[in-house]
Amino acid sequence: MALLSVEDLEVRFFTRRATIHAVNGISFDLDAGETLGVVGESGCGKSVSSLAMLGILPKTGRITRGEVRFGDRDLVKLKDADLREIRGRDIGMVFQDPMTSLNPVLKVGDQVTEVLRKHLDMDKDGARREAVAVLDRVGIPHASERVYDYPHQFSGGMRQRVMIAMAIACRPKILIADEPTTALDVTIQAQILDLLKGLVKEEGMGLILITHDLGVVAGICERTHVMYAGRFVETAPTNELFDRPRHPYTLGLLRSVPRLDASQKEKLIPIPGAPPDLSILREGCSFAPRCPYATDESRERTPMLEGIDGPMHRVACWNPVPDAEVATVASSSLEASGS
Amino acid sequence: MTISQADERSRAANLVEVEDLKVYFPVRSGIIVDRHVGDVKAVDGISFEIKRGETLGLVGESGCGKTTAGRAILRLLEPTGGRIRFDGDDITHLHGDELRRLRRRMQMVFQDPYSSLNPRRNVGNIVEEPLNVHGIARGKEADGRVQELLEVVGLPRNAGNRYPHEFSGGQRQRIGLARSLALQPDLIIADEPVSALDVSIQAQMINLLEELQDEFQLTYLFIAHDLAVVRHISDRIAVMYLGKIMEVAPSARLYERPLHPYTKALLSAVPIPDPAVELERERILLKGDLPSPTNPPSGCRFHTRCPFAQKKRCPDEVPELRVLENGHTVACHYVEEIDAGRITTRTLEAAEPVAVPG
Repeated sequence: MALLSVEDLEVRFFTRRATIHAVNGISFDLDAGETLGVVGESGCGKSVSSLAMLGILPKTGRITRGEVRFGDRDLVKLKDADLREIRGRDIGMVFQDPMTSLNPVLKVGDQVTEVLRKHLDMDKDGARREAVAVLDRVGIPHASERVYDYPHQFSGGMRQRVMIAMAIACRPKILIADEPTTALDVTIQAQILDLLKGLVKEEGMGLILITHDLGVVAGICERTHVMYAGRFVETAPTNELFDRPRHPYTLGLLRSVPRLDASQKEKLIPIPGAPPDLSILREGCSFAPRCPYATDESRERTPMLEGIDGPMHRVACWNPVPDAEVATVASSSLEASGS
Repeated sequence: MTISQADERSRAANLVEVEDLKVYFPVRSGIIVDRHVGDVKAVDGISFEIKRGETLGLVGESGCGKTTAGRAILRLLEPTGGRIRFDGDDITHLHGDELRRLRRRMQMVFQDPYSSLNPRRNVGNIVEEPLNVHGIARGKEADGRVQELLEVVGLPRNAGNRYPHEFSGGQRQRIGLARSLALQPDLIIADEPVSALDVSIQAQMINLLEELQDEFQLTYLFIAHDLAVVRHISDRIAVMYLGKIMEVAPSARLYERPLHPYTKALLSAVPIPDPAVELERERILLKGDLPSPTNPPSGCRFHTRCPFAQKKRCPDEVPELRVLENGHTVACHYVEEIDAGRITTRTLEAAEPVAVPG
């Protein structure tokens, strides 16, 4: 059985001016030891869906439909107090910005200790020892001294390590990392991704990695979901997704990012237009206005995620990118990797 | 050919020449007595040139001084030392009218399209302002020019009547670009112009920058941290670390054959959107963080994190930028030995505790 199972999750924001259709029915399973990627651009609903799963949506947001099954419980129906027990103990979370996610007036050690004492009922000394151990595990040098430092005495990368330490202190079964490396420099990003990979391997944690960076996903995730306008538009094993992207949006994304290893200076092919306004819910595929393959059907009826090239690869599109077209992409990337 | 002739010829080919540029920010302490206790050496003696019509990419991690270098060239910051030449003239300490006339020829595109446009002025006014300030056009004439500019950057001609908040991030970045093109500058310094944009929009902007360069014979200094983007757009790339230039090379060459250990590590850390490639790649993981620029390491600035560092020379002798073959310039004592495989990576012990920033 899956560790976490999300079924038809829908999230709406009710503001005075409009209703924002942030997440429009997403479903997925996460197994133990699995690393799942969710990619999409800003505003596609990838962060909101993770906040919703943990029950920490901002006040205006509400889950309007769907289930989040964790063990035998549905997190959507749980009371706040019960949910609070699960958050931090069974499901850890790492946010993007390590500068604002730590309390600036508390010593780093106390912030890690707090998690342990709350969730695992440890005594002060035990929690302190465990805090040092966990900070050491995430690669903070001289952890036994640094627990007495404040967040401002740490660099960005080190703060992100502290965040990860807090998230994994109680040995959670699931870790949700929302753009964990976006605020960091590339050399530090490589360190943090390496750390996350190691943790998944050692602890058998399920990891959900939310990011806009296709490169990050390629390096670490086994399965990847591509999100657009609050829906998954394509989901596949990562290799397959990059080799044979079938949704025009996925293909568009891959073609619009410059690759460090591209064989020549190819011209980038941008996706025309801009993402849709989510306060208006239209019938039809939400990518249709920007899509070169759009037909009348895609403008009128919303496509569902359906299997293509086998059950593991699913795409929500009336006119998946034809094989011939995909092949040209695959061969160009092969060329690049061969060089 | 005499030396001065050669000098003159290269000067004609170069739009910008930077020589031993230093920009220090003083650190002061004390409430009553204002004492000068040290300097943040943001840029500490860098030299490079930008040829007419080329794009020079300036890359490095946050805090390496790349933005400061760009601002000093624009003379938004007063250089502490060194020399900046623009089109043959020394502009290091220009001021007043002369500086204002110079600014017509060099413009900036900023990173953040949300804070670099005045929210209370309509787009027409924003794009028109440089024309007014420099007394180039007013009234009807300026309006016509603004419409042209908006069209050039791919916005509707009537966008001038609307306000910045009505536009998306990518469109706002286009507005900023139209503003910087208004004076028909020779040099555009673009500081992270696409970092704030979503990937699908980034490509639109990068293509636009390339088209405009061809159309108006622009010279770019392209400052960014994203190596893939920089490589795509640049003819040559300069890599900075802690206020110093580590390596300069034509962009294709820099990627194919990075010579400086820092460049090697930097390139190997960039994730590539292809799982097959990611699986095969060898990654040089750097230990620790960037040291503080207030108190940079002695000798080679990179020696504290360098996987190839040697006990001799690296800790106490500052490496000069040396010209190797094919326009490849590197600041490393042991670059030949490393390239030939005579020095290999060693495992570094756990990094020192990080210096407290600020």
